[in-house]
Amino acid sequence: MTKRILLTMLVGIVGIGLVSSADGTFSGRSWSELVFDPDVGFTDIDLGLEATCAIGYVAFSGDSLVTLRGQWIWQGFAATGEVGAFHAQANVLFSGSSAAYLYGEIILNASIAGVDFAFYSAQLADTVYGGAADGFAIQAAGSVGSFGMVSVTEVGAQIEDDDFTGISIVHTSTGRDRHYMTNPCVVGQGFTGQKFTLSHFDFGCSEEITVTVYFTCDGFDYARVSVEGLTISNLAWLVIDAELKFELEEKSLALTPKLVLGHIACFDLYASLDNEANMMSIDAISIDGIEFACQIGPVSVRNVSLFAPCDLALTTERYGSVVLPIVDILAKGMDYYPDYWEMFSIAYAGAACCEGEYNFLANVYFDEDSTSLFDWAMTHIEATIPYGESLAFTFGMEVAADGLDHLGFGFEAIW
Amino acid sequence: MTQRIRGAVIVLAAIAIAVGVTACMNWFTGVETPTLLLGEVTIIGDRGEILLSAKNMPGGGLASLAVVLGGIAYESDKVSDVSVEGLLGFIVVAQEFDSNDGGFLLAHSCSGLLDGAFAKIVFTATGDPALANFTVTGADISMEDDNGNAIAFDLGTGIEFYAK
Repeated sequence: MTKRILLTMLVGIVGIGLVSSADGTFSGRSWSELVFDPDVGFTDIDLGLEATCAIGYVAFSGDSLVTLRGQWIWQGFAATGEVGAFHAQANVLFSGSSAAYLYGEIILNASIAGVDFAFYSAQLADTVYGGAADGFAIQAAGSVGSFGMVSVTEVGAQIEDDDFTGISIVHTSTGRDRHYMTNPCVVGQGFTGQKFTLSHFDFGCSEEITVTVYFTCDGFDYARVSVEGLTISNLAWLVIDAELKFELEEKSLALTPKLVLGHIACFDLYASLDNEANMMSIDAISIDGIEFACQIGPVSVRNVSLFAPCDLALTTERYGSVVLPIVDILAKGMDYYPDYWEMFSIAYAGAACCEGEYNFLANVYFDEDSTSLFDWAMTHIEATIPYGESLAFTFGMEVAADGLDHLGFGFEAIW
Repeated sequence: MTQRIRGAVIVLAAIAIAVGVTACMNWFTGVETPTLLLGEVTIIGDRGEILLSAKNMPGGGLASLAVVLGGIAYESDKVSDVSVEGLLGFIVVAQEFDSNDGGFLLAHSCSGLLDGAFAKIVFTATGDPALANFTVTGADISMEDDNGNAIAFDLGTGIEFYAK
């Protein structure tokens, strides 16, 4: 039944887009990227096409990933529509090689009487290991006075938030993945969870108190009270985050002290406190990393040095080159650089002479085990070079100590 | 206006609680056993790869994996120069590949991995790699989680896509 509903809604949205495009102003964007591996030659080609029609406010797009190993990995379609206070979005993914249906998602948003409602529905086919599954979730968010309230009712699906990570469909042979917001968890329908979050309590001593209560089909699952930024008189450099969690058979209290050293000129410190022996005493302060960043006109310069290789790491460019605890990186399924202890980055973004925008990024990484000059290990370069208003060329390259690792180039056209 | 909003939120909360306590119709059925996924052989030019991925790893995630010597076998006239490379912080502690078979030990240097690709077997294709007949059985593989406990797992082959 759900499959039928999903398919009907998708066809409806796509149909509206196609019908509208027959009369409306047609615009769109297409892009491609050809990837070259020096060891083996050309390896992958990313193709994308997005068409937008002004009439009906419906946009329809599709994108493909084809490897030059002879694999058409997947074909994705997406549609968005907006009518008055309602906003709709649909995504569907098919296997490229077998044309098998893999995943479908529909998200509807509306704001009614000051309450923001969202309906998330998704289906995972049994052609994906971990499927079959389907379900939906309804989210409602509003405020009463200064309090914020969010309710999520899960009927076989979880949505991406602070507790859940959404879903990624991964191609087993290449590791390439697609990420979506709605994670269907069960086969068939039925209530599976209810979460209430109340936020913005302020008792004067803290920045914010958040209360979260979660029920599942088993009944009460947990209640969590989180307090951020507890300050202590005369210790302006120290704040404490506290989390009190009640579960059916246990209660836990986690105190996380944080150093507040402020923004010292262009420098930021990543520091941690050692209080493992006694939660209420601080045995040591560790400087785990230091970051320098400054902006000079259109040029931004950044340098990150990390001294705790098993605690902090830099995510790859795809995940924003941010510094995060390795445990969090792995739990969220992100990719990171485990070997590089330092990164120097320079980026430029500026208007081109004839519309469009230049973008350039160069990240240089250093590895203490490297035998190259200054421990240089790898350089990552990305660039976008506009050619007029509607065409831009893209370029990407990675060079490591043992030679060229990656070379990609493509174009993006807007009409 | 504020009263209307308050009323809407209260009604919504009441409905949600009512659904929660009365409408349980299904239990979660998506619980899955830990699985080691072996990707299909991919070839470009004369270079081949097999990606190894973890799914649903318990106990803080996959921390180490060992394949006994001879645990992975292949046709010597189809492939050569076989080796294994770690990904996402997994390092190769030991590896040995002969003309027909081999084995290796991988470990994460800091933490554990719940889901995702963590290593790849690379080789030079000297014949039709589709006929290389890579074989490995679960009995020759052992895995430990981040707490040092052995992981009971399924071996997944021929799986095109997985969800994480």
